[in-house]
Amino acid sequence: MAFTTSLLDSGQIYLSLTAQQRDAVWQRSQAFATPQSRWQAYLHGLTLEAILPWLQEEGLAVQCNPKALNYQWELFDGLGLQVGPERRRWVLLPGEQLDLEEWTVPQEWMDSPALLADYLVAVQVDPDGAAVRLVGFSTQARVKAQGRLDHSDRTYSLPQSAWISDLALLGLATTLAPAEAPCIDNNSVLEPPILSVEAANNLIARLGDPACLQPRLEIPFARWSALIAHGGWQQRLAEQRRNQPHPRSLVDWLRSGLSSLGLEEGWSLGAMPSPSPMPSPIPSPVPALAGVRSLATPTAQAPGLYRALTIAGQSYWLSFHELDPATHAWRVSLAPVDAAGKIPAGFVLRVLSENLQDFEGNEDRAETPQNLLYLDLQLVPGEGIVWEITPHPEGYIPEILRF
Amino acid sequence: MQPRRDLLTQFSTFLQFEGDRPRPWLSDPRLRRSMEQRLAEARSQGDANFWALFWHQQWLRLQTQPPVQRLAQDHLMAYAQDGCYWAAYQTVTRFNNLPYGLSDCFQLAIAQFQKILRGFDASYGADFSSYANAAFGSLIRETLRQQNEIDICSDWGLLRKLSKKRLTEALQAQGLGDATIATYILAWQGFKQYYVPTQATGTRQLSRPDADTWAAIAGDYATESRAHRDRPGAAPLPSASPLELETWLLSAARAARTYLYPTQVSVNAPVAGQETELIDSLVETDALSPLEYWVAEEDNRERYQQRQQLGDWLATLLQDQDEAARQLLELYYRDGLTQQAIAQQLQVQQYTISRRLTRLRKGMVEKLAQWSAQTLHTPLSLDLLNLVSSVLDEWLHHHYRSASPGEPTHE
Repeated sequence: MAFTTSLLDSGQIYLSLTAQQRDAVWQRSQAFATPQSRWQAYLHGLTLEAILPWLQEEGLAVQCNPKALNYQWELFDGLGLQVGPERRRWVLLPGEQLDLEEWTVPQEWMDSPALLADYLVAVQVDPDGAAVRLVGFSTQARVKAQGRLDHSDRTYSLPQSAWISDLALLGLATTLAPAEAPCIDNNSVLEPPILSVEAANNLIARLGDPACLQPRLEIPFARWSALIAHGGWQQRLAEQRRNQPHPRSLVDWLRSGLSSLGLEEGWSLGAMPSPSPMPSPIPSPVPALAGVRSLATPTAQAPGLYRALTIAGQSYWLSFHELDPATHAWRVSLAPVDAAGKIPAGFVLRVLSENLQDFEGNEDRAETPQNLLYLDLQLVPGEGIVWEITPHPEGYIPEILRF
Repeated sequence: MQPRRDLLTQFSTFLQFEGDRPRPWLSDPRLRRSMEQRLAEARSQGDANFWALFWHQQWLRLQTQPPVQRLAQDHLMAYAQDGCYWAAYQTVTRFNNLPYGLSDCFQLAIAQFQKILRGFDASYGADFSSYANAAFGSLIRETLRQQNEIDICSDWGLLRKLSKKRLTEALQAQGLGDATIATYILAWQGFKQYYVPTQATGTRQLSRPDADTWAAIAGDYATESRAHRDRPGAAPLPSASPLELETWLLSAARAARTYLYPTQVSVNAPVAGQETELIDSLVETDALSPLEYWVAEEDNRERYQQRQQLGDWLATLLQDQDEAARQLLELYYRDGLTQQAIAQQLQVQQYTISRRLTRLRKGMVEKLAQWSAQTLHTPLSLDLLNLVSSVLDEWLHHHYRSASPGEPTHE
């Protein structure tokens, strides 16, 4: 139309995509579980595709985890990014509406301790025109103060008068202004209950039925908040809804070979790739884990499961070796791919229980640059653990590995 | 349209149209009396902006006295008539094939005056008229943009592209009662949930849902209306067949299509004969007389000084910009050209203009914010950035408007 794109105002940002980009996003969205989540994945995908080049042009560093987003978009809306030198959390909220009267924010970003947003950005998506318009932004504190919570669908609605329409300020605030303290009130979840593994399993089974279109509304918000606080549970619930439950069982992979999912996720089975050596027979004190007895050292030829990770631009191997099948003892280790390389001081390899609880001796920390970080684990058959490295590798998800 | 020059008419008369031609200004007796009284009380006249800020102050302070607050609002709306007219004029002369004439654009803008009023910040002694003109321009452009989109949508496509607030207001504008609106909204929510596009494009021209989808929507409505009934204090909602739901939704789409702006709800307008009471009651209330306002607000003087400082500082900043940047600012703020029109004139792509303008403004906001933080000894916060951005925009509008040879007169 003659004047559609020319009715823009100075503060708004208009971003466009090619038809090819749009179609690619559409294709990717078809993997989602329901027509509703496919459509949401499409709108979010268009937003992501449009925003990344713009952030680069603005000179804003951005951390984004598309893999995690692909699980999260199955469950609730919002595109979370970490932006700028202080890694502020931006949450982009795509919507199809033509008018700017109000924008809605899912309660997850406002009241869940694990997900609190710094900046909420209203994004108008035009799939037909392959275009996206950033129309305004606000902060969690302002939305709490000036918005209204609708308990029936657990969204905050913010009228247009309450948001800032000059998007140039978003970048400036991110780099120049201190973050506003979040607002905590009666609707906030302060300390979500720690779900037991059994409780989480029950919820995932119950909410994993895609016939239930909005699982987030089926259980009390505090409970939902606790479930989604764990990226590994988000992953499991999303996979369940797609009818693709993936146990990620290392024991099965070791005995019967890698599943196609395992291969897809970058796992390899075999001897530890050289030239990273196994630790010497008498290593620095073996971290004392609950119930660990003294352990045999595996030979360099023992097959293990390993995977490449990128951390702060460097490549590493994350490996799992079975130390003793009879006692279900395993070793997890992290080593640089480059034999001459070192793990920088400050890196931590950590193992958590399936529901993200620490236990004694669950960390190996590099006080000085190291060749290797490792932990020996005493496990029960069928037990799940979550591995974690600080700083996080690219695309990190606290996935649950089963033994 | 004859521009108004004296304070009395500026704050008490309104524009009318005959077709698209403005008629002589219409005087509102209530506002005239109020302004006469105020002018008599004031020791010195003050300029138009002083009075605008005075009335704005009253509007802010009189939240608890709606009828009196309404008086202040009406004074400001009278004052804003020019700004609104020029914004409408600029839009209509820029674009061909608009489905709306000058009068339509004026009406749809002035009907949203409350939004403009709520968005005004009087810090730095900002110029109300410039701000209103810029804001009206944005409003008109945005409304036209939306209408253009709506016009190419089917009913089903349109229903998916509404916010709840917009739909509710459109239904209210049709005169529907709250209970009926509640049923329509419930049906609409079910519709949005169950009727999702299954293609990447063609979202504007969505076709009618099929029978299965209607069944799902009806089922959802039945469940939700039962749940609604169970809520404490809620009235029971009637059940509805798929056909009824379809009728409701089509009717809702029609309401949204014809909705252009909120209807003026004149609950607080004074009844004839009450005007004198109102004006008298102003004396007894928290409302300040202009003299008191001027004397009491030492900040005002400081703010005016700051604005002078700011103006000088901005003028220097402008001089430091290169020729291309200054040209861009002139085209945008003085000539009111859209980014598209500027791109055409300079023979570049629109996104180039968008980037340049954003970068230019961002640079200026940043410098201005740093300067403000230092001189005012306030922290550099998002609030300050927001204030600075609107001050900058308003200053640039004002600077370029007063620099231009003079508005063209209609007729």
